[in-house]
Amino acid sequence: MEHIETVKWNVFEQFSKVARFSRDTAANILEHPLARPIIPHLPPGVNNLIQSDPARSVVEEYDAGRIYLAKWAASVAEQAEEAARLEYPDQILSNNWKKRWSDTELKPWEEETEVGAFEILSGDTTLPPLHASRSDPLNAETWFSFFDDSEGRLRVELNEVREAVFRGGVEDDIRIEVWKFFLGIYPWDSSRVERESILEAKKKEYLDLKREWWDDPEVQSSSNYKEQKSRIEKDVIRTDRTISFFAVEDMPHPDPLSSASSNLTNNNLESMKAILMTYNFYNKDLGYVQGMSDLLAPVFVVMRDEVTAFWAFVGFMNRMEANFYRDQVNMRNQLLTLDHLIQFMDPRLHKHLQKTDSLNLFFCFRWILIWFKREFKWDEVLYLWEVLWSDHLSSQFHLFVALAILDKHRMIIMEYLHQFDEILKYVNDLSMSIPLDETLLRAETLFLQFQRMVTAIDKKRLGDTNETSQDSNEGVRRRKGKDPVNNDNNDGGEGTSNNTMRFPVVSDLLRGLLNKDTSQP
Amino acid sequence: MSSRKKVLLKVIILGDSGVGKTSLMNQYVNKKFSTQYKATIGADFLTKEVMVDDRLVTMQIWDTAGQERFQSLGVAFYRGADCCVLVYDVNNNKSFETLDSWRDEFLIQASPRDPENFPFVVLGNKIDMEESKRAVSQKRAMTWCQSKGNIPYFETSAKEAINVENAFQTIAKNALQQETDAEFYNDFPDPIKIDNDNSKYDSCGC
Repeated sequence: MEHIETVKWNVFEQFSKVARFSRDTAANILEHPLARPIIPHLPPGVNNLIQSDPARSVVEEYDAGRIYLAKWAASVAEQAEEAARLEYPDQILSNNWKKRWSDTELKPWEEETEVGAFEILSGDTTLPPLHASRSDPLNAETWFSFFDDSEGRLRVELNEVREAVFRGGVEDDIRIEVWKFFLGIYPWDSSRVERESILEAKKKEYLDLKREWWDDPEVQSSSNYKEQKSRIEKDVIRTDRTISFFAVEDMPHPDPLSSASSNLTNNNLESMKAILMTYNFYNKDLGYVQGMSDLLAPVFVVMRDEVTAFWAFVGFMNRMEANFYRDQVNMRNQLLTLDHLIQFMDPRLHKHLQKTDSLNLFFCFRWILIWFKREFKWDEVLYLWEVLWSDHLSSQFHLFVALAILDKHRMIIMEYLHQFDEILKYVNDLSMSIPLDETLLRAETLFLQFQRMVTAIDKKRLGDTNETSQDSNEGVRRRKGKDPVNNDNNDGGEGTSNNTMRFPVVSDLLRGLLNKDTSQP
Repeated sequence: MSSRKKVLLKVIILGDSGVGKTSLMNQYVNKKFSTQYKATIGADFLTKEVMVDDRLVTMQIWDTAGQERFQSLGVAFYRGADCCVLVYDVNNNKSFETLDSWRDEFLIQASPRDPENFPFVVLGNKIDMEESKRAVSQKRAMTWCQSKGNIPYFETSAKEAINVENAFQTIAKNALQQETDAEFYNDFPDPIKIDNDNSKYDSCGC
């Protein structure tokens, strides 16, 4: 035990020297009683690094070392959390988050305002606790019980299905069926017979579309076709090739003139190319854009055949296509919404991102463009996507997932990462190491907090304006739609009290997050 | 340790999708090649320490998405670049023809102080493919490079590690030259330099 204590103090001392810790940093994590069990388990390499002088000077000198240190602190925090979970298994994670938000130390508006919106909430002990929860995946028995036996029509409220999928995703054996509904191949109010005829019709329609290019030499000689073909080809041969469905190389390349003709291929890869090329003819204005192959691959593997995969992909693209538009306005808007959301939920983190010139949130670009496809493992992506398709809480729940990931790493980001490039590197390297269920739980908690705060602010504003102005809604209406949050003070003061002025503004972009309807983003 | 300032050189790799930007960067930094790098989405970078003229410098090499519509959002990292590497595939004519627009776009977005003399390096990649596939001759590429102010030109294979080390040595050298010039002309401290006396890394105290 004595030895362990010594090691601990060495680590603590060196570590704090290196990184100039202030309060609530990884040093405190090591100090924390919950962290004690992990001290002996720290990787020896880490101890060596922290304690050796040459390594320390490296750490002090340039960012690679700093990012390493940040990652190490994150892993220590992770292990401490794990240890806590083992020690107190009945404590639900969300309790900790609730604590964070009601904790005086981390009161989010403390720095910005004297009377924050937060106080309305934290002061109100009558509010029930927020309940975020995950459950088991939807199984076949429950799924089929949602439909009546005779005609196979949905007999429960659609919301019930949505919530079930949101809470736990679905089991593998029914995924193919469930996705056909969520991706718009089957209308939710269809009968079994109708669904069969829909599939027939879709098959014919697909083959007609495919024929537009499949055996038309004239089309195939156009420069546009050739360009699209080469783009698709380049990406398909490097999309998810570790998945067995795409890994096999048992076929020579069908086109000896192609620049990729030395590569072997397989039937599924050729179908991927065909689907993307046909989509190109189905959605002529858009064409193939990088990232689409990432969206198609899981859909194809789940649907198994080319025709169904094509229509499922079309359904998915209906909600994703604006991400790929040439003007990139939609991507900018989502990043801006996330910017507003961070400012609203976590002003300290927002300030840090502002100070580090990182408010473009470019490190979230990949997350949003292809819905975290590169951040999670294959099976997790399937699960995450069906959760997002469920639109149970918000049609833009993916932005809360993004917020949840940043939220989890907020202390590390604020303590260690002081440059845009450092944050980008750190965030990029989170890929494949993000725990999904925990992230979803955190995302739901954040959503519920967001929803509650918007309601509280609206109520408070309305109350204040009622007291001071005859036109009770004026203040609220005028603010709505104002760009983000800081311009509030220029707003005069007619009709609003001083308290109201200090509340964060709920921009239209933020209000949109409460919407569940995908047709009106 | 030397008392001279340590230098961070920022290098941006641009070029059409699939020409081998990610592969070149990984071959240079990690000495590894894979045929299965995914299409780059967004941007990422790797760092590597190198000796240039007896100075130890850190190269920060930025790898970017090749599809042009994603460039508009990614200009954040163009700024402060010390060298721009333009990559094309010697077996793909179009990837060569777009070099002009990649170069122009970079100059517009990065707006370097002295665009006439900003260091570019051109890499013609994938020379390991069979000769019959070759679409752009060495002569044609060199003529283009000369017409743009004598841009250094290398023919490389990321797959077989041909000329990669060489090319990046020149990239580092020219980037360092640019960095030194910038320092000379600049009244303000350069934002990309690590300065031990007045560290940009001082904690914010929040």
